[in-house]
Amino acid sequence: MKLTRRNFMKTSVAGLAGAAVFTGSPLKTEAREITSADFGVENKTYLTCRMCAQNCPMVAYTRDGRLVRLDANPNTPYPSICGRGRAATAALYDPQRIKTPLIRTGKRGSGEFRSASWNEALDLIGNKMLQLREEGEPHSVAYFPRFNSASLLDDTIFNLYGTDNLFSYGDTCFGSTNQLGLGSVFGGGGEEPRQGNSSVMGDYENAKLAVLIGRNPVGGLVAFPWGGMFGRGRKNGMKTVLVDPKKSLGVGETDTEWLPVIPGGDVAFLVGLAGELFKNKYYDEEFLKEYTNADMLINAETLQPVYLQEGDDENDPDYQVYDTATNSAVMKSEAESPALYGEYNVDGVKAKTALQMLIDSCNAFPIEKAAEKSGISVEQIQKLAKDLNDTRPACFLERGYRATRYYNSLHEKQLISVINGLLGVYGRKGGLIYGRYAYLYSPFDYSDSNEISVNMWYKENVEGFELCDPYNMRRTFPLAVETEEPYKLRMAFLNGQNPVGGSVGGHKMAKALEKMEMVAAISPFWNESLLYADVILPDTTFLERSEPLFGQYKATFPVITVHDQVIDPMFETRNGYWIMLAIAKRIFSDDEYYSYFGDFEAGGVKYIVDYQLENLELDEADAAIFSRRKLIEDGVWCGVPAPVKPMNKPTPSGKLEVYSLFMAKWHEELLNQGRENDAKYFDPLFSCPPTYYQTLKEKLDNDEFVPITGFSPLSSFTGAQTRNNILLRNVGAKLNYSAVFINTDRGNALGLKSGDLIEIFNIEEPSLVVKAEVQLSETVEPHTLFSFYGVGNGLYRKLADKLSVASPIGFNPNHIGNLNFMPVEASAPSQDFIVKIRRAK
Amino acid sequence: MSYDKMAVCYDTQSCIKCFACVISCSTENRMRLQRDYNYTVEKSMVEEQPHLNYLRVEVNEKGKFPNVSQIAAFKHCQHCDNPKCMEICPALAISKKETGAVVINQERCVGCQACKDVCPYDVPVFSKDTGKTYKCTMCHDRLTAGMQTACAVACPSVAIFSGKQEEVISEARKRAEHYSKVFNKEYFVYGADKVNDTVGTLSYMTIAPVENRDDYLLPADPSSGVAGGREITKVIGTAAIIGTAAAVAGHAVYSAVKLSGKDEHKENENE
Repeated sequence: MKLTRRNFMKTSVAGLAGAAVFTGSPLKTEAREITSADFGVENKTYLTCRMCAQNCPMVAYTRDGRLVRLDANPNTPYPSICGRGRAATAALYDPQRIKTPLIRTGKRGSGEFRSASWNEALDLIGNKMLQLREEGEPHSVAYFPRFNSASLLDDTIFNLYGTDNLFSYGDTCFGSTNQLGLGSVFGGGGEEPRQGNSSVMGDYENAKLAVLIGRNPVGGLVAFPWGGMFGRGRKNGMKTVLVDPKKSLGVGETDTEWLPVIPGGDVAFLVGLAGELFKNKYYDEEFLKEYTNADMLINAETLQPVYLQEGDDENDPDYQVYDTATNSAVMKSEAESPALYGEYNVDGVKAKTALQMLIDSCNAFPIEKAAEKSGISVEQIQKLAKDLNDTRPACFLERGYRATRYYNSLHEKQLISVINGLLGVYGRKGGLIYGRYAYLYSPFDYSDSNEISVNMWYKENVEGFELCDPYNMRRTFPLAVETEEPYKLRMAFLNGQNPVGGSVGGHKMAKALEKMEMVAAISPFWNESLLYADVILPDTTFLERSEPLFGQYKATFPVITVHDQVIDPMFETRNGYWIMLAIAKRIFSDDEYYSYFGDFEAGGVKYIVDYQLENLELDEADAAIFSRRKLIEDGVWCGVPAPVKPMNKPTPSGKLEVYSLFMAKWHEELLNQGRENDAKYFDPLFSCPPTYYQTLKEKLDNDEFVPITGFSPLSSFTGAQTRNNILLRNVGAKLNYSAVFINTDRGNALGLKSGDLIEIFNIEEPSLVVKAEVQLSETVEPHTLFSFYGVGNGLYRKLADKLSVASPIGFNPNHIGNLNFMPVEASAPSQDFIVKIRRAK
Repeated sequence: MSYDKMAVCYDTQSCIKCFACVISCSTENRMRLQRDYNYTVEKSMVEEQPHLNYLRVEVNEKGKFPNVSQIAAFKHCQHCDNPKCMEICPALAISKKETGAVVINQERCVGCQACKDVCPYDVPVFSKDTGKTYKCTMCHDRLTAGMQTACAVACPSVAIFSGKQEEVISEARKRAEHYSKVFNKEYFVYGADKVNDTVGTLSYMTIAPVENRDDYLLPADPSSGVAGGREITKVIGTAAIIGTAAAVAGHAVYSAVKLSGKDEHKENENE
């Protein structure tokens, strides 16, 4: 059925009658109460929340064209919208939104602009892009997408125009670190095994013990479905252990154990924990035998498998093990009883089982040392090991989310995934369960004839970038601008992204923007990067526009959501599709424009939705119950959860690799290239490579701290949708969320008291000084200076009169951090530096 | 029309401190401004109006690193069975509804703050901007329209729930019992049983560990700061003021009807 507007209306009306008899829902949907708002006076629109990036399913009620209420879409098993979503009205009606197109009048960074007409602003941008294309340099345009309102269309336009330089924010978040951390154990097919954040997820509802390390699922809240799952887990009696330099409120106030880890000491803690698991045999031997490569024979000198038979289309991979039935080294497929432990001589090669290698590596690192390096006591590590043993497989270590923090974060993520394997919690009830997805496709063309992108060029040519994710990386931009390699970048186009506030080393981003011939921007709100723009186009908020279907949820079952426009655009704002088409008209010939975008211009967002539905890719089980009508009537469709059972994964060995062959390969490769320092971070064994800041200094001075940052559930990223929001600030003020938090004793030693103003600077960038209020607290690990992310205006004080609800001061570590890169995978070590503080003058 | 006795319960254990409830409460109250006072939504949503947060967050920290407890308690009207605020209100602006909700009629409030002084939980908030006193109404309008309270409907983690009193109490007791077992310490449902003679039982209950009762602002023996000399002066003074105000406004008859105590609170009238 082609979804025409008339059909759409028909199905909407049919919804009320049809809902009662529809029985396709595979999940227990919580009893949905019909409220007075379901009838009569209020108009109901389904959409997804964009106050952060998670697109939680939402419903909006309007009366007389005005938004009167927002709620969670009730048609999912976990109806969840957090406080930020509920405060979206204050963002929508924020009087400090960007209301008209703006053209810069002062110098870059001054924040001085004048209003302009849409035509004047669009012509300025269009003419520049046309000029660059005519000069044969469309690739000199750098495109920075983020919270934009023209998804699928926007990057297509830039690609067809002739640039593949898409600088995305992933390197400060989920980028390489998290993907490779899990992929190294889990596989991912191909040379670089990457797994997304939702490949496996904690089964909170059934877990008995959740260890939260490197992630606070409540601070960086994904309300749907994680918030709902986590809360239900707590209700069911799940115990939580928080490994974090800052004790947080939301993960349990009274019955949560807090293990205050020294910044970057997570790895030492994990090695100590694994040592305890080994020492006491607190692991799942059966699971290791059945599902992992623990029995693989490893050459103890080279750390490579003794013999690995790669898999192909017809055969599974196979590898050599030691068969205790015949006392000989044979292929796994032929072995009767492969040994899990031991050292063997295989044709003159000293070989050990993979598990033995792991055990021995832990033995080299005693628990006392782990305690000293992590700040977590021997007793706490021992207790946790025992608790994990008592609860497995209904337990897990969270593997983190915003993973890119320290040089050793990749190793940390790998070890977490290995320990989860030792505990045998993959595919187990209450352990880690697999995500499933719906795949949605774009109707737009792509051109593959463009110049190589800056990121791909770095990956292929620059040492230290070999394992970067070129599609999720933006911090190469200032490098490329400075060196003009591989070519000169001449124009930046910011579409909802704030690289200055959002990426560590933001001041260098700002410098690079200053060198552009033109900086164009689209945004509904002010942010740091816009201060450097020449032309700003006012975007709509998510409530004022329609969007295509969305299916990238961090859920254990596939989810598809609709997003319909709730109210008319306010002020002179325009939605992203309108803006992108207006630019396309100016930069393409008529023929190009109509051949690429004619159908879309005629059909609008519905044209994309129709295409998505016609090409929808679902697993068989999901396809059997998918209903287009249900999706439209309910605003959301949820499929079948993945089965709860362990699965073999596409690793080189065909097993879950508690001994990562990917890491072993890179470890050897880097050693062969003489890069011992880099190789340390790719150890397949348990070891403790240092953070960057630890290589600067053995011991911090009295006035020195490591700047840890974490989300508050009242703020998100660097967007002003939460930063300049009075409803959120009313609550945030009670938490003093724009202050920096340091340990009480350490503050007292410096003569500071809560409420004092301090100055903060990076010891490697002493000229950049940020002012903030300090709050002394016992909930902070002593090496740590903690701040909530994206709350204050920080270094960019010029924003203060544009975002007057936000704190005029406050600390964002990105503003003054270093432009350095994680070894080889090149994502952003976002808090791996040292700051000094002093009382403000 | 008669209504069932209703209740709300907050579960400290499954709360993830996302504050969705606080924001939802605040936006619902701003919606009420739009409904009752012809306020535009554009204006109501971007003004500070902190008194409209009927759930107030109070963070307390105890102990020394690393053995520290940190709790963000919610301070809100408990909807006492014996509302001291109602007894003392000289303007007769406060009533206890059939649902159990204790509600200040904003039309009638004269801002004398006697309720604030006498409240055993220090809940009502006076706004200098409006000259009136505010507190949680237990979403009396929503409850009587068959909806959950704004805080309960907002909760993504099943930590606040509202409904018929006996159902709420039964769920709350079940949870407290389960937690007591799992965490090996006593959890209780504050307000399900009579707290003391001063307040009686409560319609807004809380599940918490007994040992943390003070951190969650759940006193064992809440005492009413029985109106002393200062309050009495205030009461007499404000009683005189409303008398004058009513006469001046020519609403004497209207007031007499409203003061009969039978009327439903204004907030029902529009639902």
